[in-house]
Amino acid sequence: MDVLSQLQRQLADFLASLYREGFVDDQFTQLQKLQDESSPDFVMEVVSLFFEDCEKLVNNMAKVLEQQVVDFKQVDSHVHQLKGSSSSIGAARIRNVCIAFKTFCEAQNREGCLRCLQQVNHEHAQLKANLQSLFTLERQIVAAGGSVPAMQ
Amino acid sequence: MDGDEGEEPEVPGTTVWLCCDVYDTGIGIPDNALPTLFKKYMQVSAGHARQYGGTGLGLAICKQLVELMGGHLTVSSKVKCGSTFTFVLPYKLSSNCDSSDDPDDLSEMADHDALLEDETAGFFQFQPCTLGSLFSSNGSTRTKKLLPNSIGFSNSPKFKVVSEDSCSFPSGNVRLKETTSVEDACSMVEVAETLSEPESSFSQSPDSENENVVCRRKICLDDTRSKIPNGIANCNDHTESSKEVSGDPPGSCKEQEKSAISSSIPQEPKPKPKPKILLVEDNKINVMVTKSMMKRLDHTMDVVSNGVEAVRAVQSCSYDLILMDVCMPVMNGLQATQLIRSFEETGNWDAAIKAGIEPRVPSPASVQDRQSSVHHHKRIPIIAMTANALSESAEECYANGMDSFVSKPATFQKIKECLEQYLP
Repeated sequence: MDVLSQLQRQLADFLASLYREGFVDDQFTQLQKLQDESSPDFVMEVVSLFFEDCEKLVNNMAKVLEQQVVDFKQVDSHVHQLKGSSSSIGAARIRNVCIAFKTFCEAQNREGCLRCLQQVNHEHAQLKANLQSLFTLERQIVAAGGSVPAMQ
Repeated sequence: MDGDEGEEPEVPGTTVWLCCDVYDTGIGIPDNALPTLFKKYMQVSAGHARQYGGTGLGLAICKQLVELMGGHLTVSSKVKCGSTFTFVLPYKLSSNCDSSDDPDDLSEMADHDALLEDETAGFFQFQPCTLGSLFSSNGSTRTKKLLPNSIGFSNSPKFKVVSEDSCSFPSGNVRLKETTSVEDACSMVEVAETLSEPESSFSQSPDSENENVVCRRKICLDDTRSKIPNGIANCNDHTESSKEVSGDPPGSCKEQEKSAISSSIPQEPKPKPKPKILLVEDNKINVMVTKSMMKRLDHTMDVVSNGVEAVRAVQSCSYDLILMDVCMPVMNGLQATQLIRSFEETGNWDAAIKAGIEPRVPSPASVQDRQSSVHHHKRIPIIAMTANALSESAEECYANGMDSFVSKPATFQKIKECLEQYLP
């Protein structure tokens, strides 16, 4: 098998595993479909914006949760934001953590919130690494003269 | 938008045709009502008269006015879709035009108030027509007041009316022109061809809010009225009646420049105006994704990030559709929708002022602003974008005046269906 075909196979398998393991969902497919000649880096741009936003929100939440008296409404509003954006890009695992996170906010459970925050951090790092691998593979394929395959 | 570059410069003093479409997205007019539509006291049916009121004089008056000015008024309509009334009027170009024939210069000229004062400016050319019995026979002072209003809105292009003898209404000798066959009214093409005028190089400013637009404009009336409103109690007081007839410019008005018409009135397909869509969403990533989906569907959107900004946007612009996020800082989507509906129902922004949103000062050049501050708007479809939280139930959305909802995350399919349902 030549290099290009190998790479393409790798990409397809990798993508399939991301879906299978719940890192991304159907919404991610929507993003991929929005990528075209007029916006060739759309997915990467949205995803980068998401990761930036996520980091900011996590930092804010950490600060609020450190306080003597925790303003759970504030934490909740940050979680709401994160839930919205992760949902928009198909970051399924992060979205799911947010759902649990919200419940803890409503229950005013600091421990629960802190645990969720940790989980968000963890999922954020994993997804970032995974998507970076994805984009690298795509770049390699394009460099090898191929085109990025459409989603199944 | 401007299709006039490269056309032959017109000879000053020649007559061109101006064509104006006034359309609505109302209930439409059935075919069998068209032949008698312009007759006095005719309405589509007794049922229509009961439901919508009026005296059935509006169209008859419009037709007479247009014909007195040497033009023609016609209608095309589709039931449940709307109606388009079209009139053409002959206009004599200025014989003292010292500017170049460059279309841009002409439109600049039109902007200057000096044009109004210039006695040699172009004017509407009237054939010596007879007055209908609807009008009293006073002379030229009424002429001046009457005609600009009868062409369009009081805010509309300042067509200069010169009180020359050829323009004044003849007093006495009144003969009502009764024949109103549809074929006759619709023979625009024939009429135009008999004039055999060169193409007008009148152009229009690309700014759709420039009220000095000349030539073909699409003016959209409130969709609760399928015809130009009337309600004239006293036929003799025709100055007032003419103001009413010219149509309280109700509703959200979209202005669209069209290219100047040529000597043979073209039956060209009219390019559809792009719908104005407003997205109210505070999450940047959601905005990016939704915007991209809209782009795919060949639409653009204005974006604001909270309820207050949404209200302000509606105050200054006429939208065809609003996608409203529910949870937002400063003011949420439910409240913003409430305020917009209050304006649509009452015609004022008192509720918004109470909520702390200072009214915007309308810019003088904006025709839409003036219209929006004076008249009721038609109901804008507002679609809630819900995150399926408890506080965003469907009932609550409907209770606050929303028409429908789309659950987040927005997908291409959801947006597409929404547009298909709510945009004409």
